Amino acid sequence: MRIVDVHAHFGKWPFPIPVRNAEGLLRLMDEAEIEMCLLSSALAIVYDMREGNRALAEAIAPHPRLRGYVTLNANYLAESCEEMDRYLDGETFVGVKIHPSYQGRSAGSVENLRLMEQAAQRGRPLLIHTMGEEAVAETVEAAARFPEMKVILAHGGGVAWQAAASKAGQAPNLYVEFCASACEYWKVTEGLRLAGAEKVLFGSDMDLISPHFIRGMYDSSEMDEETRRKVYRDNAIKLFGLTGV
Amino acid sequence: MAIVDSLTFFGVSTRKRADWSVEALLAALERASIHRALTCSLKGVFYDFREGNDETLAVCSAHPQLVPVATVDPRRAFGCIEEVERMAGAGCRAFRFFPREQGWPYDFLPFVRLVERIEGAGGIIFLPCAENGTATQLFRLFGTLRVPIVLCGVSYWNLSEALACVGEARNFYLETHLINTPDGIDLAVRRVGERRLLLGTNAPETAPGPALAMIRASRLGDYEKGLVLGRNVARLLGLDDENR
Repeated sequence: MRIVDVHAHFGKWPFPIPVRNAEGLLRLMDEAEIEMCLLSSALAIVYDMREGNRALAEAIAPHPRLRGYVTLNANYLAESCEEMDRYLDGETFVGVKIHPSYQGRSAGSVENLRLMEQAAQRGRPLLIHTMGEEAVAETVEAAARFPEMKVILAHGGGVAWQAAASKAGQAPNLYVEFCASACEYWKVTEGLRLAGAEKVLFGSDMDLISPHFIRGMYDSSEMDEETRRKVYRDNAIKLFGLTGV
Repeated sequence: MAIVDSLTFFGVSTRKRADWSVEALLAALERASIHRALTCSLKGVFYDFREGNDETLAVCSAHPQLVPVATVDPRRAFGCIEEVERMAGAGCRAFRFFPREQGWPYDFLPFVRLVERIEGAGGIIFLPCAENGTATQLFRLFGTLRVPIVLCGVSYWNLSEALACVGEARNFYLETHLINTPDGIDLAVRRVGERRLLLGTNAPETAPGPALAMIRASRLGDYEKGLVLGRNVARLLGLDDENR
């Protein structure tokens, strides 16, 4: 099955991980049978939103298998809106990314709520870094304010993955993907039961984490073929309106 | 290719609802086609190490695919050295410590003395090493000893430091279950050699699939993969020929 990976990154890490350009990412995707991945810029997340988004746009433009998230920063509302307006008018950028931890603003902060309000008006899905019970609770509450916006709880809430999956099963606009270093046994199987097959996506955190590692978790979970197809591929295509995949 | 998992446990999960029973562990190993596993009872971690170690011995006796790992809580003072000797006398060569769960630092004389005693008994020691600074501390404390020290739970967060320490200390090894960057296994082998990596999964809490997938997807040859997947730990523990 050719996979659509909704959580991947482009850029450098302060860890012993070789730097990959777009071609390097494509080779890694081929190894792991990933057809398309949705990337956010590591540079944009950890340091310079504008420079990171620009570098990502330049890197993925020649490669239809690579799509982007526009990374936003709640501390820079006007600039974030400009970034969305700059990049969200085509098919290259298909969603927006918020990383509350790196911004020092929780998902439920006034700053992030204002940012989400603006993002919701642009009509693209939001991938938001979500780790822990408090983050899950705040993100779920924030998502409820903007029911028209599709929200993916990145990392499935981390240790709070059961709460995240359960909420995804209840709220029509909430989704989960489960990439994490801690691949708890039955996380995907139980997450599917709680969230439903239409609400779980495949995310790898590539190339911070190996897609083989995360596939090891998804592949060893209990899924019938129809569910596997939804999780690995169809849910993402439908959610993001992906073409050419 | 016989696979030996160097990092598993069994027992009761108190802080979250989860099945960490012996049966759950065995099922996880079987599903992942893991032939043998080093394991220890959580009772020895959270309650009483002697009772826990007895439970470990009993379980491993009933299930020959499981290899006993002893644990001692150095906070106890009473009976710690004696427990190392008792478990060594029972044929247990692997020892695993849980400082985070028990709240003691590595630079802790009761623990240092236990390490020395385990070295004297010809044992091998598994130690958690998840934070930056920990590997260097262990290197300074034990890097000149002969006892094999296995750094467990190293991730991208502290891989650079762990590789530096394993590269310099001939008795240091790396357990792999959180080495999950795209080239992490290949990088580690290039830096310290394929004989210094030991497969671990942290089952039954963690699914074995991811850790196994990382070894299999690496660029190592079949022989080198076999070393990491089982023969290295089998050699360290003197496990029988089926793992060679």
